[in-house]
Amino acid sequence: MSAPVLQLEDVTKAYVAPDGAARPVLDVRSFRLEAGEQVAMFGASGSGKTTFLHVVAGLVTPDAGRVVVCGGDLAGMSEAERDRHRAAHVGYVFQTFELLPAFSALENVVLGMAFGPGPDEARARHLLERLGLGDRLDDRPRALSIGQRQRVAVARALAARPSLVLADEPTGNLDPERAAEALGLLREVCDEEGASLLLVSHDRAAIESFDRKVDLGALGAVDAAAEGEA
Amino acid sequence: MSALSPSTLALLVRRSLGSHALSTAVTVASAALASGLVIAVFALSAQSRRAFAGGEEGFDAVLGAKGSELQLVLNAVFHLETSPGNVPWALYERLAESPGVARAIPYAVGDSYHGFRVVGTTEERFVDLALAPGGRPFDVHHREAVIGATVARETGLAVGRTFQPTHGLEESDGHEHDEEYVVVGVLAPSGGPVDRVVFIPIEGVFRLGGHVLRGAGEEFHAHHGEEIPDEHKEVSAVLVDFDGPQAGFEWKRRLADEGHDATLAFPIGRSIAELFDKLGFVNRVLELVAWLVMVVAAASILASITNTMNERRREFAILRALGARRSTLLTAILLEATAIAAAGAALGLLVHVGLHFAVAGLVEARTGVVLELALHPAMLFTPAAMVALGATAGLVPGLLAYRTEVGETLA
Repeated sequence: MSAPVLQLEDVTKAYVAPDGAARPVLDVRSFRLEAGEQVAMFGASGSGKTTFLHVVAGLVTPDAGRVVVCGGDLAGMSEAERDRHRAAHVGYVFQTFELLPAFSALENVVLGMAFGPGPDEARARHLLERLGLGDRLDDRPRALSIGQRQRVAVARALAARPSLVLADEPTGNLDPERAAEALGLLREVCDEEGASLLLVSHDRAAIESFDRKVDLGALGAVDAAAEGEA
Repeated sequence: MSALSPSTLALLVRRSLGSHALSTAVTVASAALASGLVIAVFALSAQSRRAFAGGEEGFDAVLGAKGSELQLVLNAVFHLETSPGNVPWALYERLAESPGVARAIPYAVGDSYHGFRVVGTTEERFVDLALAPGGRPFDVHHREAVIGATVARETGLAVGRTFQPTHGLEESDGHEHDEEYVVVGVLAPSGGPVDRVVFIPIEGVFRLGGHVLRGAGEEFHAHHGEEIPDEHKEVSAVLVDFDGPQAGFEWKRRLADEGHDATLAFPIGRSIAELFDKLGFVNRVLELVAWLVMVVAAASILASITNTMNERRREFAILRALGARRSTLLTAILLEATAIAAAGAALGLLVHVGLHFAVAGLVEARTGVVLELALHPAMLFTPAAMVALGATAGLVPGLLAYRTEVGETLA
């Protein structure tokens, strides 16, 4: 069996509420994601889905536990090392796409690889053309439709040839028809690029389209890896 | 894995500056004005000192009435201020004939033409002055004049044209003399005070209607056709060229020992240098103000970038999520501030050129002295200081960017 792309063990995270009390937001006993695998994670609002992705991306440090991404144990890394590791191995698609408004579509995608393997305009151009945006390369995000912005965000997440793509409610802003289309495109391109996909969502239709579905709320229980699978 | 490429940093800086184009332009303009002001204060001060303290055409000293050496020099050399009084013709002759004196040129002043000073002198004044083609020095036996290049340009006088001097130095105050002079020569432009002078024979000044000579202690009016006895003649000043400095010091001592009512401003450059030294504190104040303006410009860079921090916090968080390190954001902001300061510093050189020509124009109009646009160390250290201040100003917003927490911002 090959090494997993992502592995979490006994990971917990709590935030301190204004009244000083610790409020647990994440409790994962065990979770694995294999190379090339695509998983949908679901959970109620406030169940810690975004925090889960931030922990995996190394943007938030867990209070306890072990997070291994593409063979790298994040706990043993400095913040700068985590930044480099993320830039090289992890792509991120945000719910609201989070494109940089001052940059063109092409520049947004180039920035997706600028902090990792380095800028490669030809690859950025190829990805945008693959996603049907070959004629919108120089357009700023505000000149693009929501669907087009979503595709730019997908291209940016895949630009650095990551092993793992994290998608946080990537279809949350789209109508059902466009959401299905966009999700299909995301899964297709991840497949083509050989990237694993971990998508968190509360969109039932999106979740149902995945073979493997995980309930985040159940991952904290004993034998969670098995029990969390829906 | 490659290091962050310069092109990526350049892209981040360019897009950031472009998306706040108006505040960027205003901040660059304020840095340019501040930078240009500092350069102008230093360079113009040095250039003015050089131009004025250099004296005129190698004259070493000015002999004149007892009083301020500075007033004497300003009046006789730069044709500013009023004459402090007269000295007897005999003193001039004694000076001119004494050993160690290479040249002594008498001046008689007090009249003007269209605001330009009329100076009575001898033909010897033109030994070192170049005349424009078609002109010649005046003949002391005729009512002839040689005029400076600026006088010719601004009054329209030319060789062959005639004019009547005005009594007094202000055109509006004095009356026109009846005597008519014909221009026989125009001086080639010199960039010095003589460009603004009308020279006529000194005898002519003595004989202008209404002029009173008091060389002998009593009033004497010259009459047409009658010779003026030397004891009645007096001069406003004598420009002196000594063979060596020793003669100058000897004459200075002699005037004091013999109790003459006369002053020898020697050396000329020292009197002007003393003026600049006296004005030194004004210069220091100007320099201080200029530096403060520069600090304010740096503060405006700080404020303009810091003002964008709130709206850009999300942008920083996204960049961090894409793998940008905290130090990358800090570097980008520092470069942004540095770029604004550098653009301002570069434009500051142009601002300095503009200020130089404006001030030099005023000085030339008032004194005839031309301030050359010359290289000055301030043209190097001021842009360097502006860039350093700008980069320092970028530290505050840079640290704000550095502290961006992705988890909190993108939650």
